[in-house]
Amino acid sequence: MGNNKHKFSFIICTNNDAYYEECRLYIDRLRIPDGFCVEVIPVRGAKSMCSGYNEGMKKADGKFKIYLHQDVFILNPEFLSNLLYIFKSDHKIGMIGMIGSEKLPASAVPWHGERVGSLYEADKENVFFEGYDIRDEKIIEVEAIDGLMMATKEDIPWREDIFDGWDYYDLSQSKEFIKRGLKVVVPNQQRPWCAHDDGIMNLWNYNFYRKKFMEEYMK
Amino acid sequence: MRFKPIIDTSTLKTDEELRRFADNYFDELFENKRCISAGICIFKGRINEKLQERTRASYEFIVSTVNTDEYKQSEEYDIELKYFETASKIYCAEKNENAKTIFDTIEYLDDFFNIWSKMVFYFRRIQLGMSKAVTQEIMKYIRSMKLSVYVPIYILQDCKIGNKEKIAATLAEMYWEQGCFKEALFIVCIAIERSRPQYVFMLEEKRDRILESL
Repeated sequence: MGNNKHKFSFIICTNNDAYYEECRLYIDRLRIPDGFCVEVIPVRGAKSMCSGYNEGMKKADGKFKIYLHQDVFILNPEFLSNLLYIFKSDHKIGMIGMIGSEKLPASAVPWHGERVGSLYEADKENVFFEGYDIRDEKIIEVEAIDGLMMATKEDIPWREDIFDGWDYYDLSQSKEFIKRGLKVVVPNQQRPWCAHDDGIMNLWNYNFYRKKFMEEYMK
Repeated sequence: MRFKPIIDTSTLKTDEELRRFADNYFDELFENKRCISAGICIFKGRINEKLQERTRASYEFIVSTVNTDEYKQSEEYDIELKYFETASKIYCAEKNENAKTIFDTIEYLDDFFNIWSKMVFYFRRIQLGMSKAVTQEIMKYIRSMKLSVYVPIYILQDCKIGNKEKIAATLAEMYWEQGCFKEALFIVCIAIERSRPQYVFMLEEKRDRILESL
């Protein structure tokens, strides 16, 4: 598990080579901060997001781990140094996301409440990063982040014991970080840092895991 | 940026009301799940079957299927069905030209999903101003898949991407560099029709340069 303080480990559960290769194209374009290196760990055939991410966590060597969907494309070339800046700004910050809920709604459905952050889909023209300065960015503490991109500096096991599917792994992990006294944050993003080709959300099993989440974290 | 809730919070004032709303929504979704899933399977099965018949009549059947209300309802739950609507539009544009259509190129509905995905990847690379070596891959892909010019035109129209005018102009440039002047002109003329006012001049200049070279 991640002992290398100068390494970023990207962990990606993947089942589509075309998406994975395109995701890698953007990772390979990132400017790597001096003294740091990057590894990318694809996880194939995962039974659930949590089990896949736990598998990736065990294989990864980096202290800083970025759990990424295969259909997420990092647009911000300074993404890695910006993550470091945010982690260094407050030692209690344990996890960073791109979209999050300052307060989760009572229904535990994030889009039933207000959310913060940014995504390419909401701001499609605003993608050129010349002149962008992380120091101008507001960092917002949240109760939960969306699983499209979750960057951590601590290794906390994902709850595959409860979340054995593809929903609520993200909200669960957010709660696990907060339970341990760590903050979960989202940068406001004057320009969207990521694009996400997520298509149409599959909600068939969503309610099953929603109830599990509420039972575990909201009683 | 702040994203507003995607529900009417004026009618759901208390936590209890919100929980009940969510419970009712998901209960209803669950009740309809079998019906919706069956509908999606039937449409996909039908379309795949007709694609493999490879006749004009079967292709016309696909178009009429895509235009039904039932299809429009099902596509709200399935991304492959949703994108395939664009394939149907492409076919309708291509069918009177004496060449292979998009339906001749694919065997299954999700083959078009793969084409759509790749095209959007390439469009985004162009939008971000990546190197020519990386952006030119779109032309290699179009050639290798034997896709008509209607494919990038319609996918660009329907996909959620920014700076469509810049992408169209760059695409036209690429076609022009390959000696495909008619296609280049076509892309630019379509782009001018759809363009936001601030980009019309740029596109008209591009069109005029292409016309000069003809």
